[in-house]
Amino acid sequence: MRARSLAGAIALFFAGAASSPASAGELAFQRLAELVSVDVSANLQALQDDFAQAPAEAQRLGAAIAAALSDGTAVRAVTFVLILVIVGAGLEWLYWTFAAAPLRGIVSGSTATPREAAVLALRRLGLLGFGLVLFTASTVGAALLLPWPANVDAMVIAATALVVALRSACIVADVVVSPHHPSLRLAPIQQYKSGFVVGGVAWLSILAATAILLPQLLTTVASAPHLAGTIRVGIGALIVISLLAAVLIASRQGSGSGKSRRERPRFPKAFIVTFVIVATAILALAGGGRIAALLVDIAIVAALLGASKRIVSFFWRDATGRDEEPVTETVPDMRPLIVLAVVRFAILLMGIAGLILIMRVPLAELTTGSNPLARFTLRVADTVALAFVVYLGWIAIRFTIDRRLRLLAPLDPHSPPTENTRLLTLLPLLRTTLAIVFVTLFTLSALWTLGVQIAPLLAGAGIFGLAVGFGAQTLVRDVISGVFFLIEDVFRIGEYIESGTSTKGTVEHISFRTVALRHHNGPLTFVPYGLLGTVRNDSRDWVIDKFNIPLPLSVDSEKIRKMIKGIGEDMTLDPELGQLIREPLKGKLYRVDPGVKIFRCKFMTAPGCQFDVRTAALKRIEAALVEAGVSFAGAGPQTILVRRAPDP
Amino acid sequence: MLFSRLIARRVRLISGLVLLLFVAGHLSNLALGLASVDAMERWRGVLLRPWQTGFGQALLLVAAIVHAGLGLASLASRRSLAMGRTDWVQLLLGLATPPLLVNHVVGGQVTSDLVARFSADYGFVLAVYWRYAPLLALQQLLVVVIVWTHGAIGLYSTLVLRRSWRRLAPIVVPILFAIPILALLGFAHAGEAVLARLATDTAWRALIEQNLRILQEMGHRLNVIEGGVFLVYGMAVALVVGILVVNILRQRRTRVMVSYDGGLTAVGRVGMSVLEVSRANDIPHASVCGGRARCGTCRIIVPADADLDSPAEAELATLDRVKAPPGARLACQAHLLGRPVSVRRVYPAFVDAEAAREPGSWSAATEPDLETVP
Repeated sequence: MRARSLAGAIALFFAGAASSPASAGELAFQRLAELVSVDVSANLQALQDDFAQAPAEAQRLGAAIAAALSDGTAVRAVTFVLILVIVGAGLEWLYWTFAAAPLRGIVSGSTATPREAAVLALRRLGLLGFGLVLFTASTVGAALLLPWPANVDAMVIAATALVVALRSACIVADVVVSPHHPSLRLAPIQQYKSGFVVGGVAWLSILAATAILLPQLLTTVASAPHLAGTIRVGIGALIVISLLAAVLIASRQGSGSGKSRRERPRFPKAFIVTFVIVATAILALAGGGRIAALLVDIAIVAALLGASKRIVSFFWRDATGRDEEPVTETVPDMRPLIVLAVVRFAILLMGIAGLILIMRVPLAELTTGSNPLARFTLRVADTVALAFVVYLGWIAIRFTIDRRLRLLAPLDPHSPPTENTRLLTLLPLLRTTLAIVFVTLFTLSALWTLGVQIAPLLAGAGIFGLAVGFGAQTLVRDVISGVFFLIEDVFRIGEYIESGTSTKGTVEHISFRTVALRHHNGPLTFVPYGLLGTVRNDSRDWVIDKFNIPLPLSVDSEKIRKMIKGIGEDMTLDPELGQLIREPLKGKLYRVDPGVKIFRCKFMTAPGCQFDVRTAALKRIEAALVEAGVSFAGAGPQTILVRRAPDP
Repeated sequence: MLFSRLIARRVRLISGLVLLLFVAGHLSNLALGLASVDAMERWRGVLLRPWQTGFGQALLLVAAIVHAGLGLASLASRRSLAMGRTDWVQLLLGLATPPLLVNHVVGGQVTSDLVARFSADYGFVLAVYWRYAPLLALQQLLVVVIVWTHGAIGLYSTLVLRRSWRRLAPIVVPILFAIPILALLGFAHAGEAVLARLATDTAWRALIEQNLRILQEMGHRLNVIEGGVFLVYGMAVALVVGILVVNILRQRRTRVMVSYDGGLTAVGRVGMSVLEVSRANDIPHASVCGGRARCGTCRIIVPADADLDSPAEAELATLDRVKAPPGARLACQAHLLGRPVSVRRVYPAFVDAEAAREPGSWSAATEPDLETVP
């Protein structure tokens, strides 16, 4: 049932008619074809009617205007309009006598980063916007007080709306493009284009506002619907021509630079944009305004999504570096990514809101969910919101981990361990785990939001999991014991561990199921956690090393003990060895065997340093014995040839 | 120049004030239409009679010609059109006024001067505007707003530089708003009354139509007068625009570098003032009065040997008033002569009229540390 209604919703969505969900299904295509053919012929017929009857209506309108002139209506209306101008423009002028100085202060300041420019632009927008609000409020307020002649009030409202629309478009364009103050510019536009952009925006906003307001006015006040239709088509044609001209100019200027030959061929934007404009115009003529508006909405959302990365990186162009070479030294900044996510989400939301507005879905249907299209749209919006939240969370976590890792030194398994090794071991693992958790949760939630029942899925996974579970007992054991090894901090990357009898080596890599051990002879052993068993960690805290020295029975034990102790104290004073030694070398008579006295020496060092220290100790002991004329005890009489080192 | 800029400025101001006073009286009279047409007519004797005497008419005519002439002369003496927004508004409104106003003046006042039995009372004028020539009414409405806006901006920019502005503002600003609004409301109210009377009072209607016939008989003579005024005005404007264009074109190939404090540089032409160079190149530069040598906020410090024209009387007076140190010039009066110039702005771009009203408070804070910079 769910899947059926979903398919119906999609079909209706494309048909552009949200009437009844029952007749969807296999009839959708047929209905679509019927709808389209009926709409097109009806629309074209309506257009013909408009053109045929517009002149008569225009004549009637002209006569009405002439009549209004002679009976005083027009004079009265113009008088009142001029009062509105005095009140609105005058109050705004008064505002600017106070606000002009702060505005000059903003535009004469210099900015260090594009973000500062954005803040200043917001302030500028606030100042300019308040002026506009004041103008609008005072004009409307004065208009409400005046006794207008019949029908004039609608015209005044339309004219005010036109002025306000034009001015707001100009204010926004001026703040964003900022033709006179390049340092405050919020968009990657060259100086010579900026005036063109503001002018174009103003022109298009005049056209668009006129196309909306004038036909409405003609229909309601002058009751000339055909003239309204004709004017709508005429202004629409003007808009299309202006847009095409803008595309032409923009593409000319874009390809004019000489270096373009070396670059890879770009996405043919100009062609696509031209296609979309022409297609919208044709759709608007033939299929009615709604489907054209849908196309425009989708095209705008697509264009904004495509440009969003460029727009956001524009504000961090000082931080992310100019071209291909990324700045590797600095810690990565996660703000641009979060802002990018927010921007994309906002764009998508606005696109969906636009869809809802265009489809004229009543709010009641949205809340009760009786309209399948509305329900589907809402579900898509939900999913988008969920994706947004998950993405934001993921970015925040990933960047916190990456930042932390970047701040700690890069991890080399064979360098001496520091206090950060545990973090360096766990953080990458945490990152991967969280990625998997996020993706799983998001997939399940998205499916659930879109109306797919996930309970059977989970149940199915449960039975399947049981089957697999028997086969994958070891896998589970490995993962679980791995979790506990890591929680209990049994080993970290860079530590030398021994497990059981034969498996030993330096921990190089930790994954979900195995640990990779580098044997000191080179081979890399991958040991599943489950097989690790008892782990002997040779790299913790300290090591004690012991070794025996066999000497002849004739030596003086006390003298040898003191000699070894002296050597041990010397070694602690050595600048290199001294750092490694925790407790100095000591020796004592351990056993007396036939023909040999065995002295046992011991010392304590940092983990992994015992071999170096032992070598050094033996070397020094040997040298001291030679000095004292004592030879090592052997199995029988031996002749020892000793080459004395030259005196230093 | 026949007489100094300082005197020209004062004459322009006084002539403007005379005209504004007349317009204010005229509009106040119109505002009485809110009471009745009779009230307008009664008060006309008080409010407008002084201006309808021979002396009053002569004064108005002289003031109008002098004000327009001085405005055109100052336009002709420009070397660049880099002006502030207010100046553009003033220029365009001022240029538009005479052609829009001429048929009102000629139709009303000149006709009653020429023909004794023609009575241009308010009832007649309103009837013409509301019933017989509505397009003229629209033109006059427009000109009311244009003239008043021009006058109000002029008055405001003069008064705002004075110390007394703080006390004057709460009185002057409401008056500046109230007069045109009440006048327009009075016009609308009286117009309704006149239309109603035209529909009922046939005798009055006959009187009006008789007056109209006089006006139509006079039509040819009036057209000649109007045509003459248009011709003279058109020629004057054409001459001024021609001078302006020639002056700009003659210097269009010259390039003079101006370097500012803060490492900014700009390119201007010979004859442009430093302030105009700043404006043309979007360099932030304080200028409260808009380049009339009145406020002193565009002040710059220049080296002694800077290649600029020497300061005129008006500039010296302003520099003296704001107690500027030696080496200071007004950027709006210092014109480039050809060699590169290096200047240092004294005020930040965001100062408002307060800096012009109280130069002492700003100079004390800003000038000592500026003196140390070479």
